[in-house]
Amino acid sequence: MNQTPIHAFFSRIASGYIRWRETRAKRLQESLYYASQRKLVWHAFNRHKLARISLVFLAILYFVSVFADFFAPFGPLKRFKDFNDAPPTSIHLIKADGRLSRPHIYETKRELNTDTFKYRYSEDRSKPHSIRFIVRTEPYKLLGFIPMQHKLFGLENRQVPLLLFGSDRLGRDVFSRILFAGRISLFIGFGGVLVAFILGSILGGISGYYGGVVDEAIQRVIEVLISVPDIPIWIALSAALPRDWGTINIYFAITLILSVRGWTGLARVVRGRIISLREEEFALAAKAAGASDRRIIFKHLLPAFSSYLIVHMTLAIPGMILGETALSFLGLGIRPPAVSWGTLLQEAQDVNVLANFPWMLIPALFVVGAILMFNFVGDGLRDAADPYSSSR
Amino acid sequence: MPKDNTTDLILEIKNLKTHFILNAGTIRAVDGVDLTISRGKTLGVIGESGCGKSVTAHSILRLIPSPPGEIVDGEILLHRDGEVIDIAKLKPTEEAMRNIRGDDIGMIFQEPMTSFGPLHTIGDQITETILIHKKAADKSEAKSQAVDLLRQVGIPNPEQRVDGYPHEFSGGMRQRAMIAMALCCSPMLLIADEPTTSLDVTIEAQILELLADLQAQTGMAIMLISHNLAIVSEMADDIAVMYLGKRVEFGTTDAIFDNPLHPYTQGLWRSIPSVDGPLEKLVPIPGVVPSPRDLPSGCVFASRCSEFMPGICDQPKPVPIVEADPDHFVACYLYDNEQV
Amino acid sequence: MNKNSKPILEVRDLRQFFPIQEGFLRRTIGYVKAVNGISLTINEGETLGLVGESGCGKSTLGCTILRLYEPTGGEVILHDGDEQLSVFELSHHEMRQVRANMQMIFQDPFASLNERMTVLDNVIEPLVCNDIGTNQEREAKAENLLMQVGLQKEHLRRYPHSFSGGQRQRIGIARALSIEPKFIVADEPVFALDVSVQAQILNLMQELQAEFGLSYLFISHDMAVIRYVSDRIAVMYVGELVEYAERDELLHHPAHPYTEALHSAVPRLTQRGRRNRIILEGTPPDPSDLPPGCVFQTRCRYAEAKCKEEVPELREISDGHFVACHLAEELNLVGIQS
Repeated sequence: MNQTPIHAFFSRIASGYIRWRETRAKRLQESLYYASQRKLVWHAFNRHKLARISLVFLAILYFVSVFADFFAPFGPLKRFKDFNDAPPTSIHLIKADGRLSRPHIYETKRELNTDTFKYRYSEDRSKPHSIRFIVRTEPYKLLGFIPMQHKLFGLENRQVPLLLFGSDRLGRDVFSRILFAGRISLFIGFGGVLVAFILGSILGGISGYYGGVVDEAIQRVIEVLISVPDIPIWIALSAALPRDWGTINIYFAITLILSVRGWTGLARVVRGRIISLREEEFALAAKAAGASDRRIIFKHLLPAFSSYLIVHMTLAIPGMILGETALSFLGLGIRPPAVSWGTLLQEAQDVNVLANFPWMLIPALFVVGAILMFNFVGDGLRDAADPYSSSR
Repeated sequence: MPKDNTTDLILEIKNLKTHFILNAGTIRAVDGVDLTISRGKTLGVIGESGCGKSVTAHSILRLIPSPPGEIVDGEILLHRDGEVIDIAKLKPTEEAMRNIRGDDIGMIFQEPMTSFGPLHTIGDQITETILIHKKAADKSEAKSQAVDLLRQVGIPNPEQRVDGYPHEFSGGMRQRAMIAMALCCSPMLLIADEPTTSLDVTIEAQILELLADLQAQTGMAIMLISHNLAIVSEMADDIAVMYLGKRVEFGTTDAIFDNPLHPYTQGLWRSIPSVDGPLEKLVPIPGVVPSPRDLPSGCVFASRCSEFMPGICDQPKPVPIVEADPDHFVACYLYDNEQV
Repeated sequence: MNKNSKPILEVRDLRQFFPIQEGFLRRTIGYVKAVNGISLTINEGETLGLVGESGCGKSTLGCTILRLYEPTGGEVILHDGDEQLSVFELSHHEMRQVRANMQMIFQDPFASLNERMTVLDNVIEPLVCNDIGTNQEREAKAENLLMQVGLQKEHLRRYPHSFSGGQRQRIGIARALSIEPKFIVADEPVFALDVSVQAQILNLMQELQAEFGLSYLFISHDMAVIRYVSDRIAVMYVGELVEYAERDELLHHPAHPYTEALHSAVPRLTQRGRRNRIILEGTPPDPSDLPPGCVFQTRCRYAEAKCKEEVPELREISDGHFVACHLAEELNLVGIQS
């Protein structure tokens, strides 16, 4: 084979590239030697595309909910007079004269149809309003303590409604209400799982590490609890809540109610893992090294299955969110004026809504989406939780 | 080949390559292995974990999970009634392959507990195998055959034990039952993959004795895979030594033990304590087995070899296989006089 | 071997029973007699090999000596200089002195290290738990130890998952040595390792023994390994010690039929083909349901009527050779022929 200079040039580039790939792979391999368990799990998790994307979306959802004051154009209780059950406002990019312009809307007019006695909403093409980003608004406090005067987007004229997802019976912006509702609905999952986690790991840990009569007793309690169906136990407990409690009290009470059963599954997981790990050689080794019971449990045993706990908790959050939604939907959970996805759906209960105001069901999409994403993330974590088995 | 009478050959493996193709790279678990097994003889395959001895056995029965495993090259020739079948060319699920499994080649595993389903009696499982391979006309005949088999492998009270569940059997008894199941179609070849590794010494002795007895009775060939050199030395006629997917040495048991040629074989001999020989200081093989993901390009043993010759052993090409003595093959440049 | 050497550890009539419980109220319906009255002595600087089949209680014995399990009965006495410590009577605080003198090397290097901690944290865990030294001192010590067991100090910051079985076992040995014990229980330390790596670890343990003056209780099921490492050998069968003597005495002149059979059953490298070995019929008895008389009588080919009634005591038949068999003097058993 006679090599032309061009050939030599390309083969030099090719071999250089191969060498670069090899050293990179080697460096990656070496960095793995120094990688802790957490890094290995993260590495494995990152290869799970769906889970990674879901995690990003969830993060955005949580972020937007937390800073709903800024992201939502209106407050959750802001009412637009004469805009009851208004459909979503359409956003236009092309002006009346046919030129492309920044996003804008037209003011909406309402007329009563005298035949059906329904309101009809139509655009008034003569009154365009541009949507502006970082628009100046009435002063408010972000998270209750940071004074702000701007919102992410909105109209200059605050009295003209910009209803992305339409409005409800009282003329409130559904989009803004969904974002605010996320605060309760998304975080009640965390709260519930946190309580369940504390109860579950303490009771499961005691049950597993000490065994004996305590173990028997805890196991029987768990069996009784899981044999009662969810909804009746929740209904019974929340019906017992005093009617005059404030939003905060109700919120924490509902969190507790949801975790009443949530801890049982976790306690079983913890107990099982502790029982099997207690006899493992690294636990014996710690004992031989002179470690106290507490050090063995918290430094050696618990970290050994923390990834399992995280997976379990991630997969438990959707259950909590659904539980809250179900309770609020039945009118037994979060009570107005507080908004959660469940209370939003409660307002969409009747057939009239389905037929005439379908945008009232948009909160359901958020519930489904959030739950699906939690499940994807949980699946990804579960596959990643055992980096040793998957790397072989 | 050790036995030049080719009519006696049962199985010939030529240049077998079984690779596992994973995202992280290809693992060349078996990479160019040649073996021959003759009628009525025992071939011992020794090597450490990861050397590919079990993958070789599973390749013969086409039990390699695919994906990721794949036979990428080589032939596995089964000599049966004058015809020659290349197992490597068959599909793992094909009927011809299913007939070979169990019928011509039986296999016993290291952990007999996992080889039996826990929900059916030992008798049912043996009976079912007999019926699948159509060795009995009906169920009662199959069951009486099962009882005979259990008696043959030394299970006491086979009439009662045939209705026992696997968990009611001790480890040794379960391995006996496993052997009975492997024998139910009188295979020409029995592959025993670490058959006694999970058993105690006294039980191990029972099982080895049983295998030797059965071989004497039935004339079947045995492929005995073990990491325990002593077991192989007692049982085998020929021995193949494997290291990292390569067969580094192959010869008769006497040749391999009395005159080991490959530095790896020699190193192994020096590194294992003896239970009755002279007490000598052990000389370990230095270093660790390289990861099968990035095998060295020349001789795979080069990194640990005491005889390493720079410029020769690390040439990026396969090590030639030399017939150093008659019927004694070794893959090592030390004996490659003509070519160096 | 020095016959006048001082004992470092004495075990007296040690018993470890595990209750078998049943039903809601956890009623005890019987006991698994894992260790059933064992007495032995380990001298300074020697290796006592403890050999037996799986389930004979040899690992339990090792763990109980270190008080990893609370014993059912008996005594373990540790000699620390001129002081004698009765291990089972010490409070948790006083156990520190014991831990500084007794450590353990475990069987499975893949299970015995904490995967979540770096090699450094694993190695210095005994120092941390017993509050010894400052962080710098601990780290310096770990560096030294790692070199002594044949690893490099760069390995300290790595996690165990990046090491092979043999290397992990070296880390396990470094951990046991970090607190400078005099006595180490090694529970099948080479069982999970490849043959070519076994010798590395066995030689390392011998070198460390010479360097630090360690005593080992070396537990293994492998007669060849036991022969290689031990000064004296103890043979265990179903929770009991059946024979106990100096290595060559025990192997060349076994006095218990079980020792003879166990040794005979081991496959030989030196012999090809079939040989006449003693095949023990059946399996060991259930440790929760022991036969009357001698534990071995159900499988013993020499058993007589007496063996089925009377429990044989462990007695000294010649200098330092203990055996629990009624017929020890009458039988002419075969060991290694030399």
